[in-house]
Amino acid sequence: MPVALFVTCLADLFRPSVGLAGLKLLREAGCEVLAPRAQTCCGQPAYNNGDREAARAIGRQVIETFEAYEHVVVPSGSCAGMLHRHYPALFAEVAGWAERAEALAARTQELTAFLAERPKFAAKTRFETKATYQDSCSSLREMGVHGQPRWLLTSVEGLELVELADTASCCGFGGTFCVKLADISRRMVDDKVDAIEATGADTLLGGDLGCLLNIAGRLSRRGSAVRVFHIAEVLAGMADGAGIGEAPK
Amino acid sequence: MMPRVRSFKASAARALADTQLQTALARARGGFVDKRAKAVAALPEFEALRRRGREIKDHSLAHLDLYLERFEQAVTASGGEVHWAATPAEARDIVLGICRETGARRVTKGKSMVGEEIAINPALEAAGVEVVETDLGEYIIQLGQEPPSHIIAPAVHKTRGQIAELFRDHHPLDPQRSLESVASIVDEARAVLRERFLAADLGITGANFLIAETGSVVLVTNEGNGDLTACLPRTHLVLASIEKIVPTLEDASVLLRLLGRSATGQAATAYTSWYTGPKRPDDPDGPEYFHVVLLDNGRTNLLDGPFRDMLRCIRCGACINHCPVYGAVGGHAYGWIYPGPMGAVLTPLLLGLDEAAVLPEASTLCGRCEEVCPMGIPLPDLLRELRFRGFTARVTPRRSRLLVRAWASLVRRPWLYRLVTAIAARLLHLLGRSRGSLRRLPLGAGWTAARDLPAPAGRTFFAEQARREKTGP
Amino acid sequence: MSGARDNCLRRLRASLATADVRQRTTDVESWLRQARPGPLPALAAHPTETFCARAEASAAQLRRVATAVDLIAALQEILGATDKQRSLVVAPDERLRALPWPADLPVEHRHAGRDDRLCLSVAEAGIAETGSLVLLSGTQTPSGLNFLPDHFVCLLAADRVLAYPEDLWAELRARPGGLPRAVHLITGPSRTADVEQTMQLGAHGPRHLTILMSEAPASHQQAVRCTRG
Repeated sequence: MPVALFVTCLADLFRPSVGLAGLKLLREAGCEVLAPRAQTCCGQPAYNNGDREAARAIGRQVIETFEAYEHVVVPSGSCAGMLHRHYPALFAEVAGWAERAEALAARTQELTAFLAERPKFAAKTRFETKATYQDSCSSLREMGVHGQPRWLLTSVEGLELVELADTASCCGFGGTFCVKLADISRRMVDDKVDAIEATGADTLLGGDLGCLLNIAGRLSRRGSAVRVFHIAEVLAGMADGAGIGEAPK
Repeated sequence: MMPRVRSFKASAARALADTQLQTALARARGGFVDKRAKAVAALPEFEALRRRGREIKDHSLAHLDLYLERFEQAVTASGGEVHWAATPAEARDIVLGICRETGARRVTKGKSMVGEEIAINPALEAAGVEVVETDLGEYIIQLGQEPPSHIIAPAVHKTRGQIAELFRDHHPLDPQRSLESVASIVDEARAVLRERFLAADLGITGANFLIAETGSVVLVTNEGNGDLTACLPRTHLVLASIEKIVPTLEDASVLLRLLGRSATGQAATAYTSWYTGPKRPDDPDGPEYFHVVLLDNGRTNLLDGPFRDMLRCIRCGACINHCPVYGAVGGHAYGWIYPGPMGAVLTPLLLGLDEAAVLPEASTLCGRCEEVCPMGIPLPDLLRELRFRGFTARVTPRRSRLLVRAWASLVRRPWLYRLVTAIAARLLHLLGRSRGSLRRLPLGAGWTAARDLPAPAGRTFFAEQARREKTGP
Repeated sequence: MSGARDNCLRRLRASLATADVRQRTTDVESWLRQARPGPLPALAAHPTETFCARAEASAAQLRRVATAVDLIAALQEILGATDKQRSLVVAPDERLRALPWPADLPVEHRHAGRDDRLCLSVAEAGIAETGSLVLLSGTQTPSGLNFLPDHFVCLLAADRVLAYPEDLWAELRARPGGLPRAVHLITGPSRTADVEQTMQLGAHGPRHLTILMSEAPASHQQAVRCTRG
């Protein structure tokens, strides 16, 4: 049974290379993989804003689209967390859907966690840079992702990884939070940018486009030269083009 | 205090611009976070204690009626009296009644969040009773006539200079004296408050825990002010909310191990005291009268439903110390007495969503609070539950509800979604192509006020997939 | 106010209606009877050693006194170093009365007064886990002595160091009359960090805490051996 890639709405719209990198990496790991066309969004915006009815409607669509696959792999801790942690809660009281949600949850994994478990997979790429890594809150706390991306990056030649101070603190994205409570979000992302600059890194990597778009946007506004990539792009050898928010070459 | 929760955003903006506050918050945050981390690292049994602590609280809540009755029996047997108050108004009446009965004119007070909840100080003052806060942080904010900004460190937002100024304004001492150093400030407070301790005829404290088995009240302080308040006056009056009950002495000891470390990184505070009733026949000192006022104020409503877990809170403040939103704006922005994540849950539950719906919104749901909570309270899930209730009751802003609904409608129609996103990707790409990002975006000022928006590549992922299928990779 | 009481209990029982009251009463009785301790932090060393290390880490001074003479000498030294205090205020405890007080050391056996700067009392026990002194209210050890002076000195017998508070609860439960009015666990001097998060000792309680740990057994039937020199 093939593996299904849950592309995420942010990758689809803002950074398709993350989806393409995901497909490439999963093939390199020995999987037959495809990205079901019926997918759109995991429903987090609705769920986190309190619209559970809409979240369930979207969730039903996601479950139907993906439940046939043995594995569902997501290049995002927050979208993976939505399927893995929150769908079972959302559908717990819904007859006929509770077990289907549980079943899908059990088969959903974040991309770096999935790759780190595949014995066949080893990134064979080169990316000469001093990089630092942003753990997304959902990756850390909902999906148990911390060591896996760092371990995967050790096989990228030329990449020196320096740890970000206080990586456990939120970058201030939080979905609609960053526009609803923009002042506070700005402070949080400024603290994050300060921490990034303090590492002396040339590149910021991460596993969640929400965080990366937020931070890249602030880095750019502050005139920083730090470049931003999704870890999938680096592992797949697709970091030779423009970084997130950079002019195309 | 009159809640000012609705003005959260405006208060937050002011707080962000207040450089003195920002310095104070940064200092406090670093201290609390590091100290807790060290204390937890030094205790291998921490996780096991957390599990047991949660078990104890869950058991207590599941049998709260029975334990409250046991507690009352035990207090009465030791010579004390228990009073029950459903609302803040009832609690105030009880306290004022006890003051009248005992002829109390001068009251000293240990730190009590329940005391803040029922706004007891203004009520006492209106009745002609002089009341002085004895916890140094509470004393400082009493002089400054402001509410606490943190449940453990109420004056965390104040600088040394601000405190010295308050002391100069309120203490009739030599104007030439130096109040430069922390030591001089604390020494002055010690001397001034010592007089008040000795003159008090009634002492009001909170309670960190109530022990059903023995009818004891547990008081935790570092200053010793709780004990001077409890032991010196003729009457000791304890204010406590009903969920503070735990069954046994051993249960309290488990929770105390979690409380100190989670709050200030201490295995034990300087003073932890167990008070059981008024003085015994052979006691040379201690209060003649011992009263416990049990406050409900909506907690019974929380037992049945998704918010029961919130009643496990032991008021350690760890969630507050680790919250990036609190760290950015401080406690006063939250508009009432409970700030940070626990405040964002408790305030709407106690004051209602009409008043406090903005607080659950003021979070990225990052989950750091739940991670550090010694009681494992699922704060992000409770915030989501409040958001759900706010959405359903339509107290959240209309515009954001409509936008969320619109997005949901779009994503439920994949064919339409593909079309709209393909157009959007193209458009944004064209607008941002030269720089790779957009500085300005119509209707997008919320984002672009502080950030550039990285420009899409031009084709969405699925448009690219479709193209490759047609023409080959 | 029985209306408020009954309403509260009624609301609670309505919320907790899922389980039968009889069953819940049995659960409560069982839990109270067992009084199960939770996980206890492992102590790295012998309780007495652990106590000393943790007490000192909490900014208490700790001195071992082998004999009554050592004890008196230590007290004289502390009194000599204490500003504006002529006599030593001592708890009216039999064990302290029985000490070999020299004639030239003025001692008052009483409860603390507002101007006393140095007071001596005797601890019921010590808790090794946290380096805490256990002081109980009672005729012989009025609580005021623990909190009012500038410098609080406390005598603790080495064989009264318990490992955990749980050990104390077991002892106190066995006493007729149960817990005394007040059980104080004191860990170091009074302190506050309310001014700019800067730790300062001596907020409202004592600025200094000295623990005099005696090797003599605690039982007050055995008077401390007196070797007048």
